[in-house]
Amino acid sequence: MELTPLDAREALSAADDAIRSVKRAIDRQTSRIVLMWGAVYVLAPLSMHIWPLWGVIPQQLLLLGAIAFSIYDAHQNSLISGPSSWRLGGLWWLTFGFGWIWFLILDPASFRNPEAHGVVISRQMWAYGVSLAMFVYVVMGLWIGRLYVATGLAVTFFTVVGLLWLGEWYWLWCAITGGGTLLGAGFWLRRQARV
Amino acid sequence: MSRELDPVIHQTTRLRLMAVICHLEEGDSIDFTALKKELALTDGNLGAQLTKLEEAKYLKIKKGFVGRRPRTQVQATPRGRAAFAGHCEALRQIIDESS
Repeated sequence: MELTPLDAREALSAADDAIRSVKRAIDRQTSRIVLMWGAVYVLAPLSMHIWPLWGVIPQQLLLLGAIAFSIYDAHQNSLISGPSSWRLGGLWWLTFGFGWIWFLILDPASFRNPEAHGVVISRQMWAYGVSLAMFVYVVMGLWIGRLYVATGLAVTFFTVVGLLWLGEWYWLWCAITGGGTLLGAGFWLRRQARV
Repeated sequence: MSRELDPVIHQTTRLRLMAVICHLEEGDSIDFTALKKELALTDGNLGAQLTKLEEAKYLKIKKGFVGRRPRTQVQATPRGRAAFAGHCEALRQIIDESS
């Protein structure tokens, strides 16, 4: 089998193009999910900033997000699947461990507000839920891409900063920084998918 | 030590397929429909090339169902990964020797 250097170069370039094409498809698919959760992360804390006693609004928004995610997930073919169950098992146990320790530190269940309309969502509860979800981003990012690690760490950082120092501005801060980070990551993935 | 080009992987479509499949992490598999769409191949062409690669034991093809929908997934074998790495090395050697 005789090949010229030009043929060899073209062959390697065809292989790289094929890899890029599939990477773009993956970015396209995940960008939709990140953008959707970004929108939820902007709207839910924003509603708490405007109506602090109506925890039912962010609760319903999160529920809507979860339903939309499930429908999207069921109707799309996930491009790549990893039967490497040790990873999923490891992720589950790591998240469980993190959730347990974080729960003891943040104590999200201690908050009570008798004036709240039915559903109580405290700052600690929001910080707890968000950092748990972002923990999954960080761990999964270790094998699917550094962007997820950076996004997870940034959103957690902003949420904790808001919780510790921003008092009544916490919700607005979360909507802008956390939601903004997720939307930024989603748009960046989308842009990558087009390049 | 000079490496040999692999006659099974040499054909362009099979080279592209092997590039994508070997780029996945070990143990991961890719969906048939995704390969078809992203590499702009027809069902028939993709099926034929995958069969050749499977016959060479470079790939494993797994057929199953998600709900009622049939789903075919493709995974590289260690032998396939080694063959692809060797083929790429041979291509690089051809380029290096010319410069």
